[in-house]
Amino acid sequence: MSVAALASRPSRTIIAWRPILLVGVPAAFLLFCFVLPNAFLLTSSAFKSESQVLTNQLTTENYGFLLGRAVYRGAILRTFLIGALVGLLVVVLSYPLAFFLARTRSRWKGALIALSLSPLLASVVVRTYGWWVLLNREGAVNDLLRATGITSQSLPLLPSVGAIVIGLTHSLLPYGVLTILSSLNGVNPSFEKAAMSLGANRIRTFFEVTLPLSLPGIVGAFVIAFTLSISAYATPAILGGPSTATMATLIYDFMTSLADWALGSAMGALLIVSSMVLLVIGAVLGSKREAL
Amino acid sequence: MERATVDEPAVAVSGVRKTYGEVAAVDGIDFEVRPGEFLTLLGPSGCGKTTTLNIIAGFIQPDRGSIRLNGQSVEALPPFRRDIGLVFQDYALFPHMSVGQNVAFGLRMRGVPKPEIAQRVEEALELVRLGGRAERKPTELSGGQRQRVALARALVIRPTVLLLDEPLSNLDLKLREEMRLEITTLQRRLGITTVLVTHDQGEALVVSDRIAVMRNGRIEQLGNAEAVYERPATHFVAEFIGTMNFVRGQAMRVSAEGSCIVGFDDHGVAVAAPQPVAGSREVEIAFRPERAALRTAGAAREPTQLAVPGTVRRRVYLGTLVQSHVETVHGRTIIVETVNDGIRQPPNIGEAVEVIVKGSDCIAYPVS
Amino acid sequence: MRRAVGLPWQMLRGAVALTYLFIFTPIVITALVSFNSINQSKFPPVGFSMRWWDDALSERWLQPLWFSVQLATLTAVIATLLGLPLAFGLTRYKFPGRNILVALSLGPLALPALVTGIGILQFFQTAGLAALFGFPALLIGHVVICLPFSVRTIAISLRAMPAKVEQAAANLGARPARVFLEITLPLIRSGLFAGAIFCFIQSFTDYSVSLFLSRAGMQPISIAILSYIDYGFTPTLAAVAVLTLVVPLVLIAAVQHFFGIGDFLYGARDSG
Repeated sequence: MSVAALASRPSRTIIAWRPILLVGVPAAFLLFCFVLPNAFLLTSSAFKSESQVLTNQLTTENYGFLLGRAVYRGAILRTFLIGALVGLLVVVLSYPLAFFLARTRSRWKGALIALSLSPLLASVVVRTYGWWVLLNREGAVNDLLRATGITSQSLPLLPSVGAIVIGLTHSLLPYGVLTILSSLNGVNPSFEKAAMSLGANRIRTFFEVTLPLSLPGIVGAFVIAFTLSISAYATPAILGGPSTATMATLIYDFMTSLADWALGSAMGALLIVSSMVLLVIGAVLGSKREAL
Repeated sequence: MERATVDEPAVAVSGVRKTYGEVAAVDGIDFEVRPGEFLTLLGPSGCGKTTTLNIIAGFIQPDRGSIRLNGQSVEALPPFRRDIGLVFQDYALFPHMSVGQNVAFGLRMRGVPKPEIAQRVEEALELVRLGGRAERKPTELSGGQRQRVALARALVIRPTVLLLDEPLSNLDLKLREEMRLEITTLQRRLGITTVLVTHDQGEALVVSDRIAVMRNGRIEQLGNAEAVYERPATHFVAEFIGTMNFVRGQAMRVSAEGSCIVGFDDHGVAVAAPQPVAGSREVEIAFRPERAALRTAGAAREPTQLAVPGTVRRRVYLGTLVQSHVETVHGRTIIVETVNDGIRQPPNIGEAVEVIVKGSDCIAYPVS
Repeated sequence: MRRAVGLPWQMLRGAVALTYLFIFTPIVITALVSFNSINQSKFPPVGFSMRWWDDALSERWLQPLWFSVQLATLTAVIATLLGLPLAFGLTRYKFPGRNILVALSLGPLALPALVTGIGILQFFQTAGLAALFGFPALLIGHVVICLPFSVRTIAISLRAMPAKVEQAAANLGARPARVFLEITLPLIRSGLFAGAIFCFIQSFTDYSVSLFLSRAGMQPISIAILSYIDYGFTPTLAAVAVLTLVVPLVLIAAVQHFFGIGDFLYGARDSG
């Protein structure tokens, strides 16, 4: 069919003003309220600052400072460690759930899907609260350990990297389920039937057909969990402490109590670059779907 | 829009060209549709027929050329001012509106008063035998019924011309044949100028007054069903319409305008040559399976006949006809159809035969 | 069809049950500790008391909660009003710079919201727009981070529309504005609502942008909770946390009841 020609594209000469009219205001909004602030941030990260006031001295000092000190370097590495662990855990935990949701023929399927995504309705602050209740020095886990006599003293479960990883995994799990579910739904069931008709049992069918075909979803879930983890502030702030500082908590400190905007911007710029690199890796490894 | 004078064509397409990047979807085409005529644009995928239809409807702006409806130039008119009825391949019925609302839509856009809309919608639905179904949703209808709603929706606005974009391709075979008949009956009854786009040559032969066979954005031949079947103007048309046998032969000399002498050895016969062929060159000789006959090898032949020796490889039983597939010494396959009248016995598989065809049933095309 | 039984499937069901347990345990615990009779977030709760709920329902917490509801509502409305023409332009037209605009409208999703927050903070401060901090700056920041959700959801429903109905309407004599109002808009309705709800929830649960753009008396509920945590995790906070869960639930139930977004969420579609 000559459908390609048909893509309802009216002539350029007649209607060129119409898309401009449509997207003009939203584009201007994004330009002014998203592009400019981010550009401003990138610029200010390259200037010297004296207590919230940027001087016009161009410098790489801010980056040098962040990357030169063991404390900050440690925090950056810790942030990436947390991100990688959370990405891994999110994939491991959400894949079975997503697979079940994609394949179940239960009449509660819709409700089960909704239920698995429902934590998104709550703020991360709210969702992290429960973990604090469980893990703090006087919390339920320590109570249990002491009551059963496994330990005699309270264990310092908080603040710790482990607690942050658990908290973030918990709050990002729905994103993993959503991403993997949509990729599993895109796998044509005929492929699985074909594999089974050719003599593969269910387990082999899964590992040789379903899993490879849903790989883009796995990559997507990992990348989303990773990027959202490294820029998360609330969970490390609640379940961590000064010893477990991350890039996000440092940014907050720079911007507020330390009032060093240049350092905050530089750290923010590092965060932007990290996210972009992750997204690009994800796009290369995962499917190249049209964004819009 | 003013009504046309009698001799004015209803649709006149001239010099229309549309390119996408390097590719010309429509590469300079001209044709006219007479008032009340049923014209079909026929061709394979990507031949430019749908683009042509969309140019007439105003959805695609041509790079060059003009479209006139009843003598009025419409290039400057947007689609919503062209007064053209269009039936889409997948019907494009509005899913959030009932059948009645779908049909009423075009009338509402024209500001027709409400009572008149109601009346005309009812009439249009009666016309396509869907009276009393106005309240239904399109999703509640069968494929054939949706097709008829789309037709009613296009006809109710009393368009200058009706455009049909592969309207039958989503229907199963039986329904397609029924709708084919229904559309032509309706078209003749209303006398509405109609342009159909299809890739189905059988459909084109049945419904059309004239057929424009398209390829690579150009019209290869424009004529009635008999002309495109009996006298295909090009090798492509010969191959595309119906079943055609091709054998390689020699053009001995050009005898007159539009004909030449061809043969395989020193025996030559006169055949039609719609495209210029040069003497002493190889040509493709084309003839229809129903015009050829078989006989045992070596028998004497008449001077006006061509004979191609070969071996019978397959027999296909079609009921009223029996097809024999004959492999020539050059490895080509010739299909010969024999009427299953109980008198002529088709030869057996493996038998050496000669395919006999009259020169007047052959057409020669230059080798491309 | 295969019967989904057998050992592997049973094991999968077990794993799924454990995952649901993992998802809901902290939320249930949060709800339960709000009934402690002592001012400590103990689990299992010590005694039973409703007094922390009295605290939670006082002006101290209802004010930021109401502030968040207003902020999220207005964010959803504005993001939809900006997202609709943007999505329509991007899906229906080819124009120079289109790809840049696609990247731009998804950008806030790709860049960390936290960084967008500090970007806006610095930009407004330096541009002499410090007066905007509080509701106006929060609104701007929230619309920025919500716009990708809105554009994406609307674009998906614009693409999912039955083929060529817009052309059919134009062919029948409808001008572009009428095609949009009578054909396009009704057909993408559920997508519009779904997008608006995503925006509301995104705004309501956000803290990353809000962290830097609030001011005293103009704090969304998530920031109010976060800044109160410095005083300790009290049962009051648990009650407030549960309260914030109720708002989106009620909203979704109401919209589902009156307009029906299920079609969109579960991908069921009428075909014409």
